[in-house]
Amino acid sequence: MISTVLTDDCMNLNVEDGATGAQHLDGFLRSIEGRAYRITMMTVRDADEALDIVQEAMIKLVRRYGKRPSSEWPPLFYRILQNRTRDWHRRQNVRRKVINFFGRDEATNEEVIANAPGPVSDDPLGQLERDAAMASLETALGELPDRQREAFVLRNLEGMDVKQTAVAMGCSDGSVKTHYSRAIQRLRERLGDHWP
Amino acid sequence: MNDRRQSEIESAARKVFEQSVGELDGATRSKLTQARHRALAELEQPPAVFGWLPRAALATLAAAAVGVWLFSGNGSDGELTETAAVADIEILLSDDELEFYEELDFYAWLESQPEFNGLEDPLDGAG
Repeated sequence: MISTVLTDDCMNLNVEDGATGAQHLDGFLRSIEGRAYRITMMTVRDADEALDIVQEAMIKLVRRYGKRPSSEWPPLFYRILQNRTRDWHRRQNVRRKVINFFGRDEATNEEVIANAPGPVSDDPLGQLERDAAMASLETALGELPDRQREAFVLRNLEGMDVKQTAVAMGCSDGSVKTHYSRAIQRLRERLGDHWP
Repeated sequence: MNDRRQSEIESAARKVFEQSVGELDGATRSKLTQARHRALAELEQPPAVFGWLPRAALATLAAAAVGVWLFSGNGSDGELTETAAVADIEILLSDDELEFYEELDFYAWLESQPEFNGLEDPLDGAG
């Protein structure tokens, strides 16, 4: 969770000094980059696009909010990331309109999967089980409405409290609770009694 | 029972997610590191005074061009509604998105295609 990854020194720091600010930002971005990539991949499902979105979110955070207290970075970063991801989906829809007009095929998910580097593991069977569990989770999360997925990812996977999640999602605390509750309900139905 | 299963799902989801992050391959890790360094390099950039001007000019031009294209009648014969057109313009002009501006030649060419003009609604049903 973010709160456990970031050290106490890093939290609530008002970044004034350039070098210190850079170090703290580096620490923050290092702590969330892999998680942000995984979260983005859940809906984008394209490695290069996900990397671009994460990079854009990092740049925007540094550019616009790098001087803000570091305790504000997690919700701000995830708000930027969610917006970027949402924009990406909207632009994809517009592009698809044009592409469909010409009857051109887009790159398929199979190509992306085929080009992806394979996992490295000393425990191939365990790796397969973990991959299957993650795939089921990704599928189930992918089937949730956007707001429910965001609430679940931020609250449960990122460990944000209700207030931070509300800032990241741009909604009220009550809405966060409602979205989260519905997300859990749907995930239970979708994943069944025996997952993972 | 219900609460227990909910807790199990929450806990298992965190565990599975953490594992998947921990097992990211080296190439992805490397790209993420590069992305982080690019972001941090922004700290060393001096604030761009009037740096937004070329972009604003380009965005205005793009808005005009795309607006003309969408409202010129090519799309209005079919089901392409004004609302959808406005939404498309908004998307095309979204912040930090220059790719579409660079594709204006393509849209101009698209507009000039006779088969495009002959279609009732070339963008209908495409998502």
